[in-house]
Amino acid sequence: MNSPTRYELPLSSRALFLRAGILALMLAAGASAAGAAVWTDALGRRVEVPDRPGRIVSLVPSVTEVLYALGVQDRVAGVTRFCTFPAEAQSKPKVGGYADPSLEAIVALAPDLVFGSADATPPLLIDRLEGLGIPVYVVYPRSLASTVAMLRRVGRVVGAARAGERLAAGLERTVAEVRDRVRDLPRPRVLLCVMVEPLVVAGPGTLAHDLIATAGGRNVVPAGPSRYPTWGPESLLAADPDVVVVSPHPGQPAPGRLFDRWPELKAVAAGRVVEIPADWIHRPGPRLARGLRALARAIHPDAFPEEGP
Amino acid sequence: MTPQRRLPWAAVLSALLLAGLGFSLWAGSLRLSWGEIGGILLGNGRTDPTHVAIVLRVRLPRAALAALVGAGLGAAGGAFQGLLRNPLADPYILGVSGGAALGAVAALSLGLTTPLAVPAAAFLGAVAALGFVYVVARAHRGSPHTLILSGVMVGSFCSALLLFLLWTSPSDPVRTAIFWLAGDLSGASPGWLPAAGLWAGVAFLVLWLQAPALDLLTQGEETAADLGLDVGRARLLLLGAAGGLTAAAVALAGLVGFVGLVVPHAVRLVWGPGHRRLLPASALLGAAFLLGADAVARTVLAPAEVPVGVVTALVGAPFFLYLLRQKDGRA
Amino acid sequence: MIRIEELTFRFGDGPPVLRRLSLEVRRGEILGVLGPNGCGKSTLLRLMRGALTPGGGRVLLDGRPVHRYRRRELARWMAVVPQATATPFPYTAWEFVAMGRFAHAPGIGGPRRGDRAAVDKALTLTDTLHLARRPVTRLSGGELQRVVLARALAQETPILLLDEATSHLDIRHRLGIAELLVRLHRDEDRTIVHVTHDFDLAAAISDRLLLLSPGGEPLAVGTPWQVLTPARIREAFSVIVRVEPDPATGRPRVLPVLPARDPALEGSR
Repeated sequence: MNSPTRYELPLSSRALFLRAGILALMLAAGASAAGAAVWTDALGRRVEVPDRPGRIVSLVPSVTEVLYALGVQDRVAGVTRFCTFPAEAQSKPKVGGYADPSLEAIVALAPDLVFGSADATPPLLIDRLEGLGIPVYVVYPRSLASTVAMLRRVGRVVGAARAGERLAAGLERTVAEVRDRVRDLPRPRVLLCVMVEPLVVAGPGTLAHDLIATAGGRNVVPAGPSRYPTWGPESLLAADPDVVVVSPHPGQPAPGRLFDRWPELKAVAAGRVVEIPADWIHRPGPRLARGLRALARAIHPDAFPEEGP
Repeated sequence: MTPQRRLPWAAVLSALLLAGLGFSLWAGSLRLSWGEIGGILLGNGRTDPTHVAIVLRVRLPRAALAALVGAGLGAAGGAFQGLLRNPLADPYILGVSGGAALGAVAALSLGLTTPLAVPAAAFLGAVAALGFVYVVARAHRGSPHTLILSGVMVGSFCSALLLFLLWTSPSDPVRTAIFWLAGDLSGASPGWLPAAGLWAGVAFLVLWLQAPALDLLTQGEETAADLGLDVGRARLLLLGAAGGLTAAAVALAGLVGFVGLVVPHAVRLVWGPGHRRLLPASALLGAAFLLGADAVARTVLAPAEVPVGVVTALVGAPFFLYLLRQKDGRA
Repeated sequence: MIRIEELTFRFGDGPPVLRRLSLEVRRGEILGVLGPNGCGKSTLLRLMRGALTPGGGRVLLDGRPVHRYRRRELARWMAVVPQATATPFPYTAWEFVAMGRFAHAPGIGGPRRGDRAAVDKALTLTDTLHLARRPVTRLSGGELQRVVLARALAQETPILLLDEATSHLDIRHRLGIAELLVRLHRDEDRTIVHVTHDFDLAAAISDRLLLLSPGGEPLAVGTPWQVLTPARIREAFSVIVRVEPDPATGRPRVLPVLPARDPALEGSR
């Protein structure tokens, strides 16, 4: 959930994580130092974290964003090379990519807490970090509600509970407000495109799907084996959504190239192909509020006249 | 257990091709009746404009692309197997896949996102890799053995460069490339088809005219020369034509596996190894096969699409094993 | 017909395989080439058909250097019968023999009536017509060798070059091919050069023999009686032999002198 491109990643095996967790527990047994608390992370692992961790390594771009929003950036010791927001985060020491960070680079930073994500951080890496006595707290937000919860948990775990509460409440307020405004409106059919070439779309079980529903739309993508299926033009024409949301990443081909070819699409004819920055929609962090508002405006322009594009 | 030469290959395979075309026009996430499809094809359908668009602008160009790519890979595979005297050869064996992949990924990494950039770069990469392999192997009189070895080396080198590019690249352009390299018939623009078809047609004609030379080359270079063949010239023509076909197929559809390896085998098992028959038969069967595989890929998890390379292998491998068992062949 | 002048050849920087060989292969003769392993017999055949370029000297075919001929022209002058090797492609014997017609009909149109007749005739001559529809991958060694010979015959060339083409055949097929060669020579006036290890067969069918030394030098050229003397064979092969006339043909027969068995030892067993 933490990287914009996770549809590439295989769903990680929970069993493996649990086993890693049990092993970590056994290794850490009895070492209950003073000034530490035991937390249960998103995978149900028990993680012992010092009260105010001072050297935090984030292997998750969205968590990096959260840590800056919590105001604890001085205690961030290392990030991945994909942690590009806020821009200052790029000057922190890098430990590699989010899916293939370097164990050595992490250990060299002597962290007292590492944040990983359930679908990107390699289970073996978590296992080895725990074996070296470095606590790893795993996040796994796949919906708005779990993002709100994640903001609170991360705040508490790093000893910034009040800031975390503030972030969480802010997102909750936005969600409640948007829900309220779209409650009695018709629900247009929405297609959210993650990539254009090939056409990769967001299906049920994704954060984007939850966002569409909350913003008063209906996702046209049915449930299937892949949460981010690849579609051909025929599926696009057959689904014929009312609204198309494109969230291209930098370097992706312009979406116009695909959609201009199909003037018979309702969304194209009505000029309802909308671009929203990918990070606003796919990164479960504080900016999700902007993503939700932008999406709601795309789906119900009349209900959100004041929002800027 | 002689191969069944009596089956009229042209009739059987043309029928298969027509069946594949029909299946491909009918299959899709939207169920359309045969009557409606026929009406749309004949231009007298007063139906939903979306259905017209699906049949004429989605399925028809896609079918044409699948047929073209399948035919090219089938014929090129047959030519490479004869030329290299290796039934395990496929159109990608001489570094073509590595070169094409490298070209495509390099174009994407450089941020070239105009529609023609990726296929053009893939085509150039494929041709460059093949040319390099040929020049290296020519130092050793271009024996099949040296060709295959240098092909594998050039392929490995390209793969290493490719991995390096993938690793250093920030993310998304490269992911586009990965989809594309897994074999993707949705990427090509229908507007390219006439030019690609013309190119493939010329390459195939050159290949087919060299069919008797290909027969001789299967007997080894020395024997081929003793029988009156100018081996160097024939090999250059064959490599150029088969490589050109492959490069065009790769540029249009990425690395669709399996067709070029297995289709010529199947033809050889049923109709024997003579290349005057094998090359056109492989083109027909390759086209029919890829049409069918693509139709399955588009429908099995509709509305989602499965990479066509997955289907070609899943459908093709068991069928081929069945053929092998039936014929107890040694092709 | 083939004139060899001062021919020398070596592979890379190695020692010469052939040294200063001069020879005239006459129209319509059968020439047998004998010599120990590695003396350059097969290399000589390759030089004769332009598959290798001479290091020194030259090979003239009908007065023109052989490497100046185009491959197809050459394939209408001479056909080669190599030792048959397994092939991975299951052509039928008929298709296989039809490849011999490439030099006459290289086009995509395939064999015409004259070509078909030549193929059938070659299959008949080699007693392989009944194999015509069988894949060559399913033939026995002897059958395949005869089909390879048929392919060379289908080329309808004045010259035939045979490179140990009979050495792994059983005696019946070896004699069959020897007979066929004699008949081709007699009835069609074909020129035949054959490399072999079989002294008796070479002596029986050849008009002349060429004996090469281990270093690739010509030791003797002449009639079988002139070439096959115990002294020369000893020089070429370092073995001791007796040479006797064959009672039927009057041609020389080479008999190895084996170490005498010890009667006492045999008795004690």
